[in-house]
Amino acid sequence: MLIATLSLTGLGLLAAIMLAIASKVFYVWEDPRIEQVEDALLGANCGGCGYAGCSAAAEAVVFGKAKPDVCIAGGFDIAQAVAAVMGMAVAEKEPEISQPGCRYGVQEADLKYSYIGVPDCRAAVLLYGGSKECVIGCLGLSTCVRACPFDALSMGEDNLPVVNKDRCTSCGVCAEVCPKDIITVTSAAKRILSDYKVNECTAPCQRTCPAEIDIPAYIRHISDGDYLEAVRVIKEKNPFPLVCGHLCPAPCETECRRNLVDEPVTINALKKFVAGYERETGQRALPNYLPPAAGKKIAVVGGGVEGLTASYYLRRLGYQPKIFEATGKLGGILRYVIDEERLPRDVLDWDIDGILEIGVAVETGKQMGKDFTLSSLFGAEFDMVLLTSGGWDSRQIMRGKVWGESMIPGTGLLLDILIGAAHGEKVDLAGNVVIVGGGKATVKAAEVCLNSGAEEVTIVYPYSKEKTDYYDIDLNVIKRGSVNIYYSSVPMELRGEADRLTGISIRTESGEVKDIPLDHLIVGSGRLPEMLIVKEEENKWKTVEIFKVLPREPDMGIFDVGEMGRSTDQTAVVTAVRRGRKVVRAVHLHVSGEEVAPEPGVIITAAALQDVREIVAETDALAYPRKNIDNLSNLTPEETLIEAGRCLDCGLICYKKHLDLPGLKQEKSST
Amino acid sequence: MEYIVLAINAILVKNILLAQYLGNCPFLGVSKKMDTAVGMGMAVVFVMTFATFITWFVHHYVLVTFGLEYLQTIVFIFVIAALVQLIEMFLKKLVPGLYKALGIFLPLITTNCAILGVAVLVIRKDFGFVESLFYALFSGAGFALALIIFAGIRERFRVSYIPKAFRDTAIALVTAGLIAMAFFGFQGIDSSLKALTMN
Repeated sequence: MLIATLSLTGLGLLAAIMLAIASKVFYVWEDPRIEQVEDALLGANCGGCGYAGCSAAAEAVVFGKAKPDVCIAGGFDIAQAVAAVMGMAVAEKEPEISQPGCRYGVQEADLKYSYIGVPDCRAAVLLYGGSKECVIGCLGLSTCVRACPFDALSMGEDNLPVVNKDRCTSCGVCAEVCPKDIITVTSAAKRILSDYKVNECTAPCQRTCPAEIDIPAYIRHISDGDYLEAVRVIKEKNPFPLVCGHLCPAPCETECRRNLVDEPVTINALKKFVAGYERETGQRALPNYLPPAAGKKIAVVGGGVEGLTASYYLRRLGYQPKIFEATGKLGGILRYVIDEERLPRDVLDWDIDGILEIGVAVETGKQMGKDFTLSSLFGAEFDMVLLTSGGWDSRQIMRGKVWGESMIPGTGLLLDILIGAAHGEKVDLAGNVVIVGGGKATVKAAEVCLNSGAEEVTIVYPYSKEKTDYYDIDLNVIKRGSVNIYYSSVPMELRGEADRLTGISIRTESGEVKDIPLDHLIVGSGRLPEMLIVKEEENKWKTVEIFKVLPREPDMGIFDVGEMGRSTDQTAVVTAVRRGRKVVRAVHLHVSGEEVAPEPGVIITAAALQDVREIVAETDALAYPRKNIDNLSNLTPEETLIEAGRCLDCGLICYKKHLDLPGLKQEKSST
Repeated sequence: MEYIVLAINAILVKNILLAQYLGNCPFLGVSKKMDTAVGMGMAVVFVMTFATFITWFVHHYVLVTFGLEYLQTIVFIFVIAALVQLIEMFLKKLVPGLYKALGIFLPLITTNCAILGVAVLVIRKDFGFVESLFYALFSGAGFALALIIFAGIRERFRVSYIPKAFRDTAIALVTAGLIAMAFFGFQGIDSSLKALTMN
């Protein structure tokens, strides 16, 4: 007994001493904050953050590899708790939510075969990409529902997943397991920043719309009688619903799939109706979520449609835009050029007020280059300057001499130089001059420059030497020793100091980037392109390339596509709206430190997509002819419901095969 | 030769999980995912070998010396628990990579019956020191094998239709039973193995 007690005690003592020593010898210091951060996290181990569980995420936060808002599922509250442990601040972010992107379940869609097998989408997709004809359709086998760690998903009767918005934490697990990328985690901010992609279900009208408005979605809201929500959907892509309702050439209607049977839905008239409803009732369709204005301060120069659109979306993403407009009133071409009968100015004011109401600051009657300059803007705490001023067409508004009061110091339009020379005006172009552009006018302009005191003229010519010959332009005529020509070269960046232009970087034919010092820049297009100018170090600034064109077209640097000014030539208000939103995407990417490049998989041409050639539908679905309407007249509420009911609610290849039109049943029973 | 027979015996014929039914808790608990099953399997191999190593000495040089064989169970549990703690600290400091891979599994199996079972078995079978070590190593390997096979099957459950009443533990137990029956087939080679060692 004694021996047993003693030997056990001895063993215990021995082990205790060993462990005590070991705990000193093998002591590893662990940051206590790891545990604190882990406690603050949700603890669901969903993996939505990209780390292997909450403890790995906590470690990443403490080691500075992840930000306090690493926990996507936890949202703002948890981000704040984590930030409190770390002694950091965290910006409020818009809540995101899962959104299934397929609207026609397997029983409604066209099928290739009927699938009987392992009930899981990941298994089903192995067999010719799933049973649906549509290559991007939901297979309806509940893989996402089972994967959801928060029980936020369920399967609807139509075999499509339904999101319980109260439970969804946007962790992204569903999006990850879906083999067809149908369910995505999205938010208004993400939709503002993105383009339609080939693996997204889009209707022909939606793809055609230059502003990329989700047309089927807003028509669905109209059918449901929720007019304000319809306006909200439109405003995710276009802050000028009422103006566009009056002016839009509506290319969407040309592509409407109902054209295959009778006449298109009067899409633009529907937009005009709901936007008019918003105005008449005075209930502004404000964004569901507006982040606090805590982002960078951005000066937007030019209060036309593009500048207003850009400011609107900058504000919706949490930036602090301020518009500087040279004339007394906002609106640009819309206010000063468009006929009042086509666009009553109170209509324009309503949409502009809607933009300013969400927190866009304005200063009118201030012209850049005269009343303020780049250096005064950067001195006034602006982080960047966005130029959306247009060019030649703004002469219609300004009616003045622009050279010498140019927005970008030392920069002018080639047209101004030539017209000035024709009128015998004297301009001082002493120093180095760079002319960007091609054609005979460039040659002429180079001559004018040399006559106006330029010491050296450099022509940056976007086309090859062969093309020069083709156009029968002999650039050698002006080769007087002080003229350099770079063929197949494009400008990549402008640099300056205070209010002086100092340098330009060009990408030459061989692909190398060459820096050329300069004093004057002459742009051979009718407009100055949109430009983003950022402050570098004290007193220095540079431009940021904000458009990267789609892979099919050559990258032309800061002046965008080959035919300079072509894409910035706003032929309709809706194209200026599109451009304004794209500029915001570029700004956002630049601020987030990412490369400004097109998203992978963006639709370049609709020809590459699946489509239908004929409509097979019940005769009911094709009842009611199109209301004969133009942009000047209005739909009545009853007509609106009927027109919205005419919409086939198209997806990529699906559409409604039978419709419930208002009044259809009564009419049928009475006959 | 002897050791090959011992290995076949420990891994297949007398599989610690499927023939001796020891360590069923982790067998059912961590077999839902392949990667955790692999981690657990490796941890068992590791701990089982070390535990047998130390308990063999404790038995022969402490318990037998003082005539305390009747305290075997309690002493073994105590020694294994202390040992695993020590190993854990050691790995954390010196082999952090291995600690990351096995970390959370080590304390889980501290007082597992399979570990204790093997430690006791080698004493009962009167194995020598080297033999004991090999037996523990192979038993651990057998455990890992069974666990990985089971996890491979259970991963497929996620995409198969299973009647509601059978889901989760019920179907797992049924499957475990079926695998055990399959392993029972190895009993047939037991006698021929014995014959081999006789020669």
